[in-house]
Amino acid sequence: MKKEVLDQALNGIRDRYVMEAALYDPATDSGKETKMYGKNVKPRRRWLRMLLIAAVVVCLLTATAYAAGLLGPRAILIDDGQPVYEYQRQENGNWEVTENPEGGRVSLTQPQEAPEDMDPAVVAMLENSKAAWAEWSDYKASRPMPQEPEAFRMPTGAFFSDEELQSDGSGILRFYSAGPIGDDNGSPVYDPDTLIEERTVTPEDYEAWDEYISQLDAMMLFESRYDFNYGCNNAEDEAALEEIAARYGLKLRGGSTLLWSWETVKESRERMDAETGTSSPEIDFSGPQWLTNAELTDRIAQVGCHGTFFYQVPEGYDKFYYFDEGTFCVSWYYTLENGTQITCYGYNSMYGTLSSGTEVVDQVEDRSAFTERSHVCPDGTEVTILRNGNRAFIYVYLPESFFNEEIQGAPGMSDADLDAIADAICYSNIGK
Amino acid sequence: MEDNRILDLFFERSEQAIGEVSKKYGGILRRTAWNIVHDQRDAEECVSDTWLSLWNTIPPKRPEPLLSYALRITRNLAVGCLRRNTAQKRSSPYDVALEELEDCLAAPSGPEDLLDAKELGRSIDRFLGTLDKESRVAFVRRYWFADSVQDIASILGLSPNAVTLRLRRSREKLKQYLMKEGIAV
Repeated sequence: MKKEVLDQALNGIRDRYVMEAALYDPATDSGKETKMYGKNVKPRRRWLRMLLIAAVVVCLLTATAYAAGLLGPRAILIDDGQPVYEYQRQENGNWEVTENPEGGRVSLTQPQEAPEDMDPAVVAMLENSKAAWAEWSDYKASRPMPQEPEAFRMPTGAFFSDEELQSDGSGILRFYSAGPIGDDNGSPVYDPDTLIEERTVTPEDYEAWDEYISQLDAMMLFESRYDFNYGCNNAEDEAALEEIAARYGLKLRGGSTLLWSWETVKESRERMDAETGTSSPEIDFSGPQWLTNAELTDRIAQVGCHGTFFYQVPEGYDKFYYFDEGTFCVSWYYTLENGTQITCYGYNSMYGTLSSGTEVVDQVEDRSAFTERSHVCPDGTEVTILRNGNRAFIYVYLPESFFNEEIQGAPGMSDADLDAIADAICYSNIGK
Repeated sequence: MEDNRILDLFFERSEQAIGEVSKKYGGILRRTAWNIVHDQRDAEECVSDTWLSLWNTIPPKRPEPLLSYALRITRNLAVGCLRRNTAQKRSSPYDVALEELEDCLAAPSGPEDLLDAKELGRSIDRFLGTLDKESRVAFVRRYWFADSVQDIASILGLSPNAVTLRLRRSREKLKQYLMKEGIAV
């Protein structure tokens, strides 16, 4: 069956089911930047052996940044003991979700561990942020969630239900242990022998249902003034978040500003139209969110740095977004020596900001497959370059923030390419 | 602001309507678009085009519920965007989700066997009525909103394995159901 048929067929799902599924989700986030592919696994021995080898080759510090010490991938690997899941195509064509015991998750935001030689005050800030986040998580877990009215809850043993609305506003719910069978006309009917319970639902019960939906609605539609990653569902949550942050002396990420390059978008669309013979609809590039590549480069320097960020204007930008307290993300394009254009995704995470450390996450297929080396950039900053297949991570502990950049590479990506990418940025200028 | 008041603003041709609907539903629309196109810029374009479409169709329409109407517009725009991007070999988790469903429904043997999309849609809709609520939410979130298994697990408070199992069972049931409805699989 062609996907296009399914695309259209799924439009036939009634509003009620779409709304039910939409309102089930309390999240109000936009765009969902976080890449939640899976969850990671416990450390493995092969991984420990690699760390010991890495310890032998670690280099000395420079003045502008803290060395990664013996950390290597530990600085970015999330270790919450949960397995990584992957989609795998089977021989029969089916897709199956399988656990990958070798896989791991990496964080693009706060470091997962601090180097031993880091300023104790900074280490204390990171520990402080972790403790604050743990308290915030406990608070969130303690908050009551809207409860489905008892009258609508499925009895034990039932897996199916149908509903018969009555003219007086009541309804009859029937719960079955098995799905419907076809009658003589092929219409679905339930086998009476599988009936578990028949229940009358009063108009008052339906009112309770509406109230339940409205509570979910209010949660979902709450517009928090803080980053959606905090998960504030109401003003009480916001107040609790502020109280915890204040008590721990941490800042909060407020609303973010997202900017794009109209030059990059225009080029991309023209290229796509030429390749596909299509004609993309015009975009109004007049808004303040649309800048040239050069203007975006200047803006990054203005809002996130005390000087130049990129030495030269990149060939293109995917996006740049920033928060007022100093956290920012820049996704830019780079062409490898072999002519392949790749994306580089850098994230600057402030130590003094309340953070989960998992706001932006990606997955690697084999957590033991990292190679590690250090590299000294033109401004004297020593960065750590980790490589895992066609992907690489360049990270550095700065005095006030952790900068981590994921290189979404391609076959043929060389060490020289990675050095050039690392050298494109003046790390010592990061921070206001 | 209540949906009715927002609709009134559309009927009054007040541009405040766009601001209010964006404030109220922008988050879930962006998320839905992003799930399908998997690209921040394209997702933002889909949502922007949704506002334009709402402005152009209300009035004369007065859709209720407004959220569902807006979601359908966004979803269709995102799917269209994805299909265009497919020519650029950009893949999407939405396609992975659809392939699960494709495998459940199986391929037609020739053009004359292509299912009528509307009839199939009606059948899937009726089938959803036979599912328990959690399974139905999981199904719709997976195949309509293109949410990941992990995200659905988070929404429902289940483990990813439990969600995978539940989706698989739902697909099996759908297969049986479509056979009973006379839709060849």
